[in-house]
Amino acid sequence: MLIVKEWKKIVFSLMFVLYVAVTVAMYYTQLGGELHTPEPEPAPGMSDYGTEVKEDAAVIMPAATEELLREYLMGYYVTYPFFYKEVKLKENDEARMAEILGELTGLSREELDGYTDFRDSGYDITSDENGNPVYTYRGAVYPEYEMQPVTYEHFRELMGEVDGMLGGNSSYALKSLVNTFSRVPKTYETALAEYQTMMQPANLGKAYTRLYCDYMGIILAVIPVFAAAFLWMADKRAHMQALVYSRKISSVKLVCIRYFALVSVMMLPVVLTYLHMIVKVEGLYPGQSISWLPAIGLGLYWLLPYVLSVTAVAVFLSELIGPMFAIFVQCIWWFLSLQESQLVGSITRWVLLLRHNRLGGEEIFARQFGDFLWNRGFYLVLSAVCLMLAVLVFDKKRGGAFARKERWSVACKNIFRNRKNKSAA
Amino acid sequence: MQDKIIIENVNKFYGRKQALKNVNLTIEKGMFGLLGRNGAGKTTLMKTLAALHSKQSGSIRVCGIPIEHAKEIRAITGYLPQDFSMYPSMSVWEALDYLGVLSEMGRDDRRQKIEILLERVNLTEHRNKKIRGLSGGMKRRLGIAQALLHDPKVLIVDEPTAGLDPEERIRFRNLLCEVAEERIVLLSTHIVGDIEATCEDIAIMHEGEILWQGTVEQLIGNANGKVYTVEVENQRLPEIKKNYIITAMLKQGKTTHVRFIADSQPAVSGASPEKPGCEDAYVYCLYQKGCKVYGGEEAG
Repeated sequence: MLIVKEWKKIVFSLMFVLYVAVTVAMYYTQLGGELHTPEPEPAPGMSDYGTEVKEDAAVIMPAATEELLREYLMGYYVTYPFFYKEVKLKENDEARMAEILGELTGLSREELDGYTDFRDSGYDITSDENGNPVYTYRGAVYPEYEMQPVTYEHFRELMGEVDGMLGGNSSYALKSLVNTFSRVPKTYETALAEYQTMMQPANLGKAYTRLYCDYMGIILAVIPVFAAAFLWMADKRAHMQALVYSRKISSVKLVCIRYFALVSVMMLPVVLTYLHMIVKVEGLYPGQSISWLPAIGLGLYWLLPYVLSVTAVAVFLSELIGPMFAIFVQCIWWFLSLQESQLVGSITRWVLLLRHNRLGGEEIFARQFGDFLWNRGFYLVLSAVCLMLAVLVFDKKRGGAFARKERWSVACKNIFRNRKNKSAA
Repeated sequence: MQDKIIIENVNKFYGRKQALKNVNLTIEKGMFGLLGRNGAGKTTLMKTLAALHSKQSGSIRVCGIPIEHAKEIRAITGYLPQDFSMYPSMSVWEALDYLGVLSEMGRDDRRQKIEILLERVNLTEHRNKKIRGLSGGMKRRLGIAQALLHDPKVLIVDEPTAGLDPEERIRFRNLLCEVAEERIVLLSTHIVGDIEATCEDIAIMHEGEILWQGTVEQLIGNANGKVYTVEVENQRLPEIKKNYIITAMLKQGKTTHVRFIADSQPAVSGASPEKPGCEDAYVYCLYQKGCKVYGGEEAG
């Protein structure tokens, strides 16, 4: 059977070995820690039950204003365009920032710029009687101010403007505002209720599955492109395109079998690490009934569209233009979607990456479940469309289309090779 | 089903460049040679016949099947491309088995055919050898085996002997002659010796056109009385190069033995007529049809 031969070709390739290594490494490094100890049950009288996010204007507005004031007084603003970045504003933007702060705090620019006692939050280090260092947290020192009466809608407009001046991806971006500044401490009752919900047989498996999918999704949204693009062009590298093209097999059958061979083999390390997680979780909660079937369904619907869509895009673009182009496009797409996504609670209909980076948060996920279904459905459809296009391109190439592109590409390679030879000589 | 390929008024363009110009050919069962310079359009015609290239106009029927029916054409055609290889990490057996699957052959049929073909191309003892470990000649023989795997009615072989040593070349030509007993074998080459040794019917292509078609005997017959040899002093060589098409030269100290083509009795003292060979005849044919021929002169 052709699919068995394709599996064999893929499994014994170096690219697949690398794919497995990255997948397994991601699983162990990111999820390994979560599988060592069971989630502790909240007990009365604990000092910290974590935080929860609530869109409360009375919490968000003062917190965001205070942070903006702190960053203004420090002279730079932190953004996260995938990596940590300090932004320093030009004079006219700085003046506008002072105006916004004035509108929120009532402080004039002279008062802001003339304030010399500012000190950022941090830790004071002292020593105990044994000479060991003792760290004491101290808050930041700001000029005194009173929040001005600003509506929440107008406040959001101002924050949008601030984020724009900072080049985007700041904590003031509207998508981040609630998550960043509206975290309120959980009460014991809330924490206990959340824990009890999570520990229900129908939910515990799904909770771990969500966390698993969150971590594994980060790599499955990009690395299949490397394996798929590389393996898809194996015929070309082996100079056997004409041999394959001249066989009787139909283009639909050949492309689809090769595609499903790639997808199924690339799901293999995912399935195995997931099974490993099930065993570990069962060990963490002995005697606890856990319903895994719905969790497996959730995980499959979450992760399979990643592999299907990334592979389909890789196959289509590799066939149409070339493997390097496919890798480039996918990396850009992945990078942008990573920027768009928040750790928890930013499941949207279109963004490739879905994040839910916490064990609990059942209610947050439930709120976004409709968008989750839509998103994954969209990527399943996209996979089918790209696969059909790949079949079309393959069939056209097989009949001689794009021959000029191939000749042009060969000519370019020859020019490059000749130049290299000349320079070597 | 007819055992012939009928090509009528076929034209093919790469952008503005015309690769095939009004090609008309009828190819019967047995060996048929397609001779021409590099870039004459031989590979384009071969690929078009293997349904790997499309034509812009004209008609082609392979054993009665219109070329547009690509799947049916591929089922009855075996193709050995000019620049080919197979997955280097596969063994000879695995590579043939894989291509057999792509030809939609059953498991038992594949096993049986592979055994027979490996025996026929003398690769049985190398069946477990990786492709990357095969010599050029072995690869070519494996190429023929893969092209014959699904027992095609038509075998298309593009420049199969390029890069082979003389012994392997002879071995390969004999193999082609053997398989041509049962089917149409279309051999494309720019090496006249290959054609002379294997084909009865040939066509000469030049710049996308069929310049001449007939038997090897007819081609040689055309050049009868047009080939001469002479032993000249080396200083007279430029004069001969300027006026005649030289097909062979052998320097022997101060003199050179020259073989050249002349339309009429040459004005070279001591020149005597010679029986033309296939190579002489091919060059004469090009010259006769008005193609620029470089014999002794620097090309370009």
